[in-house]
Amino acid sequence: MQKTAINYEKMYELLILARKIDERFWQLNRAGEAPFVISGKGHEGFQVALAQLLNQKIDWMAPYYRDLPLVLGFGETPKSVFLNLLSKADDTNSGGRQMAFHWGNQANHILSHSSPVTTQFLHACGVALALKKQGQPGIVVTTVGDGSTSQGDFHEALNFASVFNLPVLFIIENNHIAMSVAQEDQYKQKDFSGFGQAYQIKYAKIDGTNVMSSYQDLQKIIEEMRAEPQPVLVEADVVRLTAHSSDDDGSYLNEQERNYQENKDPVTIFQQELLAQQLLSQEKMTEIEEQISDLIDEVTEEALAAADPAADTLEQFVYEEGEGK
Amino acid sequence: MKLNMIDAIHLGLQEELVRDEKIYLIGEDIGRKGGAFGATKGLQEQFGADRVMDAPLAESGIVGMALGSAMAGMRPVCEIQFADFIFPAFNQIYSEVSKLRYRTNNDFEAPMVIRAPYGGGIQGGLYHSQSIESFFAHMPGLRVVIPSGPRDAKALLKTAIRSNDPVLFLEHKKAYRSLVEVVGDAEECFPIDQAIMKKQGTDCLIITYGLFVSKAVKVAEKLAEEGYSVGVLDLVSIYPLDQATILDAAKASGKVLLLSEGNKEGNVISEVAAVLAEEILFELDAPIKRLAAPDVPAVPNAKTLEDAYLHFSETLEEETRALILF
Amino acid sequence: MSIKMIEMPRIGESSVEGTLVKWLVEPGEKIKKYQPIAEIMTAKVTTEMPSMLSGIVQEQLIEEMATVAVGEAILAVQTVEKAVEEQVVQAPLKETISQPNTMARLPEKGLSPSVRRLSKEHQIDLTQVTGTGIRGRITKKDIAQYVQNRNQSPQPQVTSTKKVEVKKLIASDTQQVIQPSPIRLAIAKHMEESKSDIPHAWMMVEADVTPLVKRREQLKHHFLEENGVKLTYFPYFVKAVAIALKKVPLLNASWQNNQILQHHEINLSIAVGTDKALFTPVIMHADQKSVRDIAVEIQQIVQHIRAGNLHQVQMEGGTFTVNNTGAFGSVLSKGIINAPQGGILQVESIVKRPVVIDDMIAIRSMVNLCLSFDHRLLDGVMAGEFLATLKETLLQTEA
Ligand SMILES: Cc1ncc(C[n+]2csc(CCOP(=O)(O)OP(=O)(O)O)c2C)c(N)n1
Repeated sequence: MQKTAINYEKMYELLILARKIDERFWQLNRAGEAPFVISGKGHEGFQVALAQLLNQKIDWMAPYYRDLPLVLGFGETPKSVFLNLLSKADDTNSGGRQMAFHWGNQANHILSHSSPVTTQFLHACGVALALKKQGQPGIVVTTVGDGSTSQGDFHEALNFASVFNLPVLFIIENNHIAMSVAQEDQYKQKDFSGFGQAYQIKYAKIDGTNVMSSYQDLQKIIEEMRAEPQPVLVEADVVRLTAHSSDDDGSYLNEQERNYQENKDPVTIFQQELLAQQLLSQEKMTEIEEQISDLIDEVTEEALAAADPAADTLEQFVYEEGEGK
Repeated sequence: MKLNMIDAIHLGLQEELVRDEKIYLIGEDIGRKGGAFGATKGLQEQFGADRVMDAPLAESGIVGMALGSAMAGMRPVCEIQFADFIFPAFNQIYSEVSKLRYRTNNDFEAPMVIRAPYGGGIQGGLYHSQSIESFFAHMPGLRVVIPSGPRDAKALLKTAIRSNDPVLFLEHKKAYRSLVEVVGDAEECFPIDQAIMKKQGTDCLIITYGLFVSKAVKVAEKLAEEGYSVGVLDLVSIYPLDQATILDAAKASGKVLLLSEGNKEGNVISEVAAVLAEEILFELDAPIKRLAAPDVPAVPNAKTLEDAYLHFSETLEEETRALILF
Repeated sequence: MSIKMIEMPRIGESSVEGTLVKWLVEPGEKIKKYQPIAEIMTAKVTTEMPSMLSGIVQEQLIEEMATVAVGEAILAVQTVEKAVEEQVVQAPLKETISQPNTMARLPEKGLSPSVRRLSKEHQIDLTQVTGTGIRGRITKKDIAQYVQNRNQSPQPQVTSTKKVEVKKLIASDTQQVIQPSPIRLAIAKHMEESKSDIPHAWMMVEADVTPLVKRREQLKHHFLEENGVKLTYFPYFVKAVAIALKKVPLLNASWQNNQILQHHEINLSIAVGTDKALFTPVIMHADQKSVRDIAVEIQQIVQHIRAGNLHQVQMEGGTFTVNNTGAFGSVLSKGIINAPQGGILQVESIVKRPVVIDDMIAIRSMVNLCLSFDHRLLDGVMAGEFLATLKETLLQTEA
C-alpha cells in the first residue's frame, strides 16, 4: 500500500461529526424522540484514526455499540445513523428491527452484531478465515469493551485466530468500567498484555483518546498485518464521557472516576495538538464545526420525517424468500 | 448402492465438497480421525486441511467462526461431536445464527449447516444420549432437520448444505449403522421443509421422526398382518413443522399417535399435538396419544435404567392397537 | 403561528411517568429547538429536557415537582414555524394482519367431543338445543343451559295447567295403567332428581350394639310408664347420628352450585312411610335433644301423619336423613339421598349373630349401618370416619 499524507482535516471532520451527532442523539432521547442512546463519547480518538487506516474495499469490521465514529468513517452516513437511531424503515443496518447502535451493513463490509456482548469476536475470525480461504487480501477489525474480556467467546476467538493464524485486529476499548462494575471488580490484570502472551499473538497498548498517537501506532500495526497476515490484540485506553447509556445516570461513579474521565476528552486533546503543531487553524476548525452543525440540523429533520417500517413487514425475512437475496 | 446412514452422510459430504469450493467442514476430531463416528473419514486426506478443519475444542468458537465465514461468502458445515455438547454454542445459534437474516432485514444470510449426532440406546449415559431437538425447535430463522434413514440422510443433507438458511441437522447415533438401504445419486436432493408419508394407512397414524420412523413402519407392517391399516408420517422438518402435510395425514383416520425419544413435557410432538387440536379437533376420532421418554433429566448409563428409559417405545405396538380399537 | 404542546417524554425503556424538577424557561420567553426547557426526573435518569419546538413559551402546564404520565402536555408554546407538522401515516394493523380463520375451519354444526359426550350423558335430543356458537354451533355451555332449564322447568303434571305432551301408556289385557297420586308424582320427581343430580357413594359398617340392647331392655318398662311412649331403638340411633355429625360435620352439608353449604344446625329428617307415601319430618336440633325427647317427638310426628295433619313446615330444614329400614326387617339397603342433603343413613334390623371375639364365638346383637353420601362433598375416608364415630357413639348413648 502506498503511503498517503496524513489528512488531519478529514480526521477532525469525522471527530466533530461523531461528537455532534452523539450530542444530538442525546437531545432526541431527552425529548422523547429516540428510545435509546449508547455513546462513543470519549472513545472517538483511536476510532477516527483507525477509520483512516482501513481500506473499506478489502477490509471488514465487526464493531460494537460504542463505534459510531468508526462506522461513520467506514461508509455509514449521518443520515443512515439517524435512521438507525429512530428505527426507521430505511435504516440500512436492520430496517428498524434492532435497537439503535447495533451496526451491520454488508455493502460497507460492516458485520451485523447482536446485543449479547463479544459474539462478534468469533464472527471476525470467520470473516478472516473466509478471506484466507478465498485468497483475498484484507484484515478484519473487531472491537469490544474491557468488561467483555470476561466472556468465553473472547478467549475462544483469540485462540482460534492464533491457531488458524487469522488476520484479525482485536481491539479492546478499555474505558476501565463495564456499565457500573469497576475495573478491579472485573479482572485483576493491569493491562491485557497477558492475553497476547497466552494466545501467542502480538499485543500493543495505545492511547485511544489521542488521535495523533493512535494513528501512528495503528499505522504500524496494520502495515505489519498486511505484510504478514496474523492476529493482533490492541488495548486502546479510552474514557467513557457519558453514563453507560441513556437508561443510566452514572450516579454510582466516584469523584476520582469522574475527574479522570473529564480530563481526557479526545476532542480537546486533538484540538490542542492541531493548534500547537499548526496543522489546522482555529478559523478552519470553527468553519468545520458550523458546517457540521447545519448538516446535523438538516439530517435530524429528514430522519424524523422518514417513514417507519410498515407493520405488515413483521414476518418478512425469517427465511429466504422468493428468488433469494 | 446400498449404504448405512453414516456412510451415506459421508458420501453426501464428499459429493458436496467436490461440487462447491465454498463448502468446508469444521469440527472436533474430524480431520485425521474422521470424526467420532467416521462421517468425515478420509476427507481431510482427499480435500486438505483447509477444507476439512480440525477445530480447537470450543463449540461456541466453531459455530461463531463458521457464521462469520458464512457472512463473507463461505458455506461451512460444522460437526458438533455429540449433540449433548452443543450447548456452549447455544448463544451463537440462538442469538446470532438464527436471527441474522431477520435482524439485517435480509442484508446478510447464514448459509451453514450444523451436524450433530443425538439419541440414546447406545449406553452413552447422560451426556452421550440426549435428544436435544426441542431446545432448537423454537428459533424462527433456523431449520431443524432429522433424517430417518440412509437415503433421506444423504438427500436431505445435500439440500441443507445448498440452502441459504442455517440448518441444524441431527443424526440419530443408533441409526448410523443399524439401517441400510439404497441411496440416491449425487444430485438427489429432498426438500428439507416437508414431512414424508412413509406409509399410508386408514385406521391410525403414527407421527414420528429420526430412528423411530423405521420402528413405526415395522409396527405398521406387523399390524397389517392383523388386518389393520396404519399410516406412518416422518416429520423430517422438526422446525418449522410442515403443518399442511401433518393435518392432511391426520384427517385420514382421525387417530394420531405421536412418538419421540425426548422427554415428554415440552417435546416437539407436543407442538404437533397442539397444531392438531387447534386446527382439526372436529375431525379427530380419539384423544391424541403421545409416547415419549419419561421426564427424568437424561438417559442413565446402566443397561437396566437405559431400557427403562426407552421402555415407552416398546409399547408402540400395543398403544397403536389400542388407538385403532378406541 | 399556532399553539403547540410539549409533552413529558419517554426516557428509558420502561419509564411511564416523569417528575418536573425545575423549569428552565418562563412564559413569554423565546426558545429555540433543542434548548433545554426543564430538568426532569424519571425512574432511570435525571436530565435536562430539550425542546423539539422553537417559539415563545405560552404557559407552564404543570408545577415544579409535579409527576405526570409520559405523553402528558407540560408546556404550551406559540410556534413560529409555518410548515405543517409531518404526519407519517401508518397502515392500521387491523388491515395488514390477517384475521384468524376459525370460520372456515369449522365443519357445519360441528359438535365438539365434549358436546357429543354430554348430549349422550343427559340424553339430549340435540335438535331441541339452540346453538349460540359461531354459525349456530352448539357449545358446551348451551348444553349446560339446556340441562339446567330442563331441571328447573316446573312439574307440568302437578303444578302447571299448561298442556304438555305426555306419552300415554296403553293398557292391555295383562297390564293396567294407574295414574299416580300427586304426592306419588312429587316423590317420584324428587327421587329422580336426587338420584340424577347427586353422585351417590355407598358404605356399610357392622356395629355391635349388644350393650345398647341391654340398656334398653333394662329401661323400656320404666320409660313407658314415665313417658307414655314406647322406647324403641330408633331414638338411640337418631341421637347417635346427631352426635357423630357434630364430630364429622362434613356430612352435614349440601353441595350447591359448585359450592359447599355447611350447616351449623343438625336437623335430622327421619323417613316415615305409610302404604301410600313417604314422609320426611324433621327433628330440629337433634344434637341438643335427649333420647327421651327424640322418642317423644317421633311419637307425636307419627300421630300427625296418621291423622293426616302433618304440616309442610315440619318437613323442612332437614340437613341429614336417618332411615329406620330395620323396621321392615331389612338388613341391607341403599338409600337415596334426600336432595339437597349430603347423606342418608339406613339403620337396619338388629339381629343376634354369632361373632368371633378374642377367638371365641359369642352371640352378639349386630346391626348394619348403611350410609349413602354425596361424593362431591367428601370421600370414603371421611365417610368411614363418620361411621366409626357413629359406632363408637352408639356404645355410649344413654336414654
Ligand atoms: C452477554 C451479555 N451480558 C450482559 C449484557 C448487558 N450489558 C450490556 S453492555 C454491558 C457492559 C459492557 O461493558 P464493557 O464490555 O466494558 O463495554 P463498555 O460498555 O464499557 O464499552 C452489559 C453488562 C450484554 N449486553 N450481554
